[in-house]
Amino acid sequence: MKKLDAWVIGKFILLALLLFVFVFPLYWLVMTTFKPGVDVIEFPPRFVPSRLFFENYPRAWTEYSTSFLYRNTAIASLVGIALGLLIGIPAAYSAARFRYKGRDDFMFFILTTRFLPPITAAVPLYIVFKSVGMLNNVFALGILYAAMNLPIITWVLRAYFREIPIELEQSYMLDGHSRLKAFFKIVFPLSWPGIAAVTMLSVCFSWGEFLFALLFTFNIHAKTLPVKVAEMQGDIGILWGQITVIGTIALIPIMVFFVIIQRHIVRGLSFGALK
Amino acid sequence: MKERTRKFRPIFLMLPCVVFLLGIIVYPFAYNIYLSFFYYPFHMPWTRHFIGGGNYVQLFTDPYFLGSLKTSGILTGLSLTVETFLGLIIALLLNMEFKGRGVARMFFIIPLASIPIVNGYLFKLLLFPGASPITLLLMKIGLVNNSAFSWQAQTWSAIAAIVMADAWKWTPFMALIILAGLQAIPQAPYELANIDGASAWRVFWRITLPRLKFPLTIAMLIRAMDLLRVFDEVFSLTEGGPGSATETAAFYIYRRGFKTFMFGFASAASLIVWGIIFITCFLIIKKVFAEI
Amino acid sequence: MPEIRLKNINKTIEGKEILKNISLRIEDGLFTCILGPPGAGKTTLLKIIAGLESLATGEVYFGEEDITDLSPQMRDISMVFQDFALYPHLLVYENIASPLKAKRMPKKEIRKKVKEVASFLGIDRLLDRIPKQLSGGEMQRVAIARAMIKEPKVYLLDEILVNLDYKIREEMRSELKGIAKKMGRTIIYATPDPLDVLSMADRVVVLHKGIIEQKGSTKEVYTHPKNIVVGGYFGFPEMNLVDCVLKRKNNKLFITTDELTIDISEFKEKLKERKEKEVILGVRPENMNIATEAVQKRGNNLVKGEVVLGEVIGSDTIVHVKIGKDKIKIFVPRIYRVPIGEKIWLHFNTRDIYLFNRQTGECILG
Repeated sequence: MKKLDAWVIGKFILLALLLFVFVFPLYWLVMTTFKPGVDVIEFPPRFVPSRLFFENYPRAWTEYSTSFLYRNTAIASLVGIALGLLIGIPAAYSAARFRYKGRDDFMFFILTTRFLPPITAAVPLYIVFKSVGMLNNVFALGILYAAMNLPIITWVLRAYFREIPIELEQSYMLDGHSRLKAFFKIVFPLSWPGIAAVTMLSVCFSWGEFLFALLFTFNIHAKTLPVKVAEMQGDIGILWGQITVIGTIALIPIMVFFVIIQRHIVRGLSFGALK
Repeated sequence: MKERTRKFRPIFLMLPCVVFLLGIIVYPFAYNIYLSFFYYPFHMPWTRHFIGGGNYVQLFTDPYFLGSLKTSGILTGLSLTVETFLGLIIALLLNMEFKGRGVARMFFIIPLASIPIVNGYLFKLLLFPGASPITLLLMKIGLVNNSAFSWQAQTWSAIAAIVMADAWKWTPFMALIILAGLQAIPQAPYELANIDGASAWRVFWRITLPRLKFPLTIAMLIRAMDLLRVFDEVFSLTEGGPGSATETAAFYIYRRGFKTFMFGFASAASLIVWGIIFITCFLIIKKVFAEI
Repeated sequence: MPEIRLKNINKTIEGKEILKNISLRIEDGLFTCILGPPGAGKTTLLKIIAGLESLATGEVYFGEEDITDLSPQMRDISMVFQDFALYPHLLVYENIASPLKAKRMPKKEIRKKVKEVASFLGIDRLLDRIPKQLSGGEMQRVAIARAMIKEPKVYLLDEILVNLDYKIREEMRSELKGIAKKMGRTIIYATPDPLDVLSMADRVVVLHKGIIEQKGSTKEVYTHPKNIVVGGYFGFPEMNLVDCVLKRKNNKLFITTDELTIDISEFKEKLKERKEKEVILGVRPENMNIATEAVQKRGNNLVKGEVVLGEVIGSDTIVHVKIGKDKIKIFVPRIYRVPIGEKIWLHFNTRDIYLFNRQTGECILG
C-alpha cells in the first residue's frame, strides 16, 4: 500500500511540475507588462517584479492605435471563419450524406491544399492582390484565411455529420419539413461541438497568422496585431516593454474566448481525430 | 447508372468549396510554376526574362538552401519527438481521475491559443542572456553553468530555443489528441491485466500503446506538415541566426526571395519545398489510409 | 384510400444489389408484414415506399398516381424507425408536435392534438422529458405518437419491436393489433420475427436476399409455403428440416432416413409426376407431439429420440431432441420438464408434413 501511494504522489508532482512549465511563460509575459521600462531586462532575473507599473497599457492604446489593430485582426478572423463555414459546411454535409461521382476525390483535393506552405502561395498571391488592388485589405486577408481553414473545417465536420443517424433527418422530412430545415433544425444543433471546435481552431489560426498579414498589409488600416508585435523589433533592437504589451493585448481576447469554449473543443477534437 | 431526376444535386454543395480553393490555392500555385522559370525582380519588372531552369540550378547549388532544408528537417524531427513524448506523458497524467482535472486540463491547453510570433519574442525574452529565468532554473538543476549563456550564439541552442517555443504551443495539442485516444480505450483489457497481475510498464506497452497508434499517427502527421513550414518563431526568435544556422526553408524563401523581391527565384524555391512536403505527406497518408 | 403498388423495383447501394425486381401490391386498410432475415432488404423497401431512397428503375403507385418522384414530404406516409429516431435535443412534446408544425397548424390546436395522442398512448406525463430519459417502450410510444399525429394514409413500421424485451414485445403485439384495427389504415410492418406476422398480420410478403419469395394472406403462406426458404423461416420455432430419400416400393411410397421410414402412400397420386429422389422433409415443431402410450401402441409414424434440452419460454416449452444425426425441436404448449438424456417417442401426422426438393428448395408436397 505504501508503495502505491508513492507512485501516485510522484505522478501528481510530475503533473504539477509540467503545469508550472506550461503556465510559466504566460506568467512571465503578463508580469513583464507590469514592469516599468527599465526593469524589463534585469540581471539577474527576478521572478516577482519589485515594483508594478500600470502605465504600459494606456500608453499602448493611444500610441499604437490598438483599437484599429483589434478591429483589423477581428475582421480578418471573422471573415476567415464565417466564409469558411459558409463554404465548408455544405461541402462537408454533401460528402457525409450523399454518394456522387468525385466525392472522395474532391475531399482528398481539399486535404492536399493544406500541404501548401504559405510561403509558396505568397509570391503569386502578392502579385495577384496587387494587381486588383486588394493589398492592405483585411477582407482580402480574411478570404485567404477562409481558404486555409477549409481543409480542417470540411474534414472534421464531415466526420461529425456522419455520426448523426440519417434516420433523424429522414424522419424530420417525413414529418413534412424541407431538407434545408432538417439540416438547420436537426443536423446543425447536434453537431454543435464539432462546429465549435473548428470555429475555435480557425479563429486561433487566423488571429495569430503572421506571414500573409506581414506581406500583404502596410498601414494601420489593415495591419493586424501579430504584425504590430513584430514591428517592435527594429534596427535599434527590440523594444521589449512594448512587445510584451502588444503581445499580451493580442492574446487576451483569444485566450478568453478559448477558455470559454475549451470544453467544446476537447470534445470536438477528439471526434475529429479519431476519424 | 442514372438516378432519377431529383431536383436536388448534392454535388452543387461541394463545388463552391472546390472552386474557391482552385482559385485561391491552385491558381497561385500554377502561377508559381510559371514564374519559377523566370528571372523576375519585382522592383524592376522590366528586367524580367525567361531563364528556364536557371533558378533551380541556382537553388540546388546553393549551400544555404540545402542547409535550410536540413534545418527544417532537424527542427521538425526534434519538435515532433519532444511534443509527442511530452504530450504522451501529459495525456497519461490527465487521464487519471482526480478533482480539478478539468481545471488542470484547461491550464494545459491555454498555450494552444497563443500566437506563434509572440511566442518567439516571449521565448527570446525568457532566454535573454543574463536575464533568463530559464537559464537560471537550468543552472539550479545543474544543466548549465553560465548565467549569461547566450542561446542564440550557437546553432544547437538556437534550434533548442525554437523547439521550446514551438513545443510550448503545440504539446497541448498532442496531449489532447492522445488523451482522446486514451479515453476511447475500453476498460476491459485493463481489468483483465489487473487480474493477471501485469506490471504497469507491460500494461502500457501491450495494451495502451497499440490502441494509440491511430490517433498518434494522425496527430504526428498534422504536426509534421506544419513543422516543415515553420516561420513565425524563426522570424522572431532567431531571425535565422546565428548566421543562417536556423534558417528554415520558409525563412530562406522569405529572406532571400521575398525581401529581395526576387520573385522568380522565390517561386522556384517554394515549389521545391512544396514538392518535398507534398510527397512526404502523400506517401504517409496513403500508407495510413491503407492500413485502416 | 388507395392501394400501394410497386412495379419492377431494383435498388443497388454501393454496388450491392439490395432489391431485385420487386413487384408488389399492398392492399388498402390491411396489416401487411414484410418478413425476412436481416439484410433481406426490408428497410430499403420501406424507405422506397416512403420516398427516402431514390430509384433507378421501377415505379411506385398510390392507386393510379405515380408517386415515384414525389418527395417524402408530400407523401401521406408516416414511418417509425427501428431505433425510433427521436430528436434527442427536443422535448417529447416537440418530437410529437413536429409533423403538425410542418403543417403550420396554430399552436393551440397543436397542443390539443398532442395531448390527445399522448394520452391515447399513455405517455402524456412524459411530454416534458427528453428522449434520453425514456425507457425503450416509452420511446417507442413517442415514435408511434409522432407517426399517428398527422393521421397519414399509410404507416410504415420498421422492426419496431426488435429492441424491446420479450415480455413487452408480447404486450405491444396485442396493443398494436388493437390500435391497427381501430384506425383501419394501411400498415406495412417489416420484421424478422415470424411471431409478429402470425399474431398481427393479415398479409405477409416474404423477402429474402432482395427477392420476394412468396406473398399472400398469412394463413395461406403459412400453411402452403412455396419453397424451403419460406417454409423454413416462417414458423416459430423454425420448421424442422431433415434430409431424406423418396422411395417407391411395391406400389407404395416411402420417405426414409437412417432412423425411420414413413409410409406416405396416401400422397402417391400427388407425387406421381415427381422424379426426384432426394428430398427434404419438413415438420413444424407444433405438429410434432410426444407419443402417449396409446399412440405408441399403434406404432405408425413413430420416431424415437433422446432429449438434449428443454427450453421453457413463457408458458410453453421447446424441447430439443436428437434423432440419430438430426436435431429437431418440438413445441409443447405447456410447461414440460423432462430430464436431459431421456429417451422419448415422438409422433406426427402425415397430413402435416412438407416435402421440398433438395436441389431447388421447391415445395413438392404441403
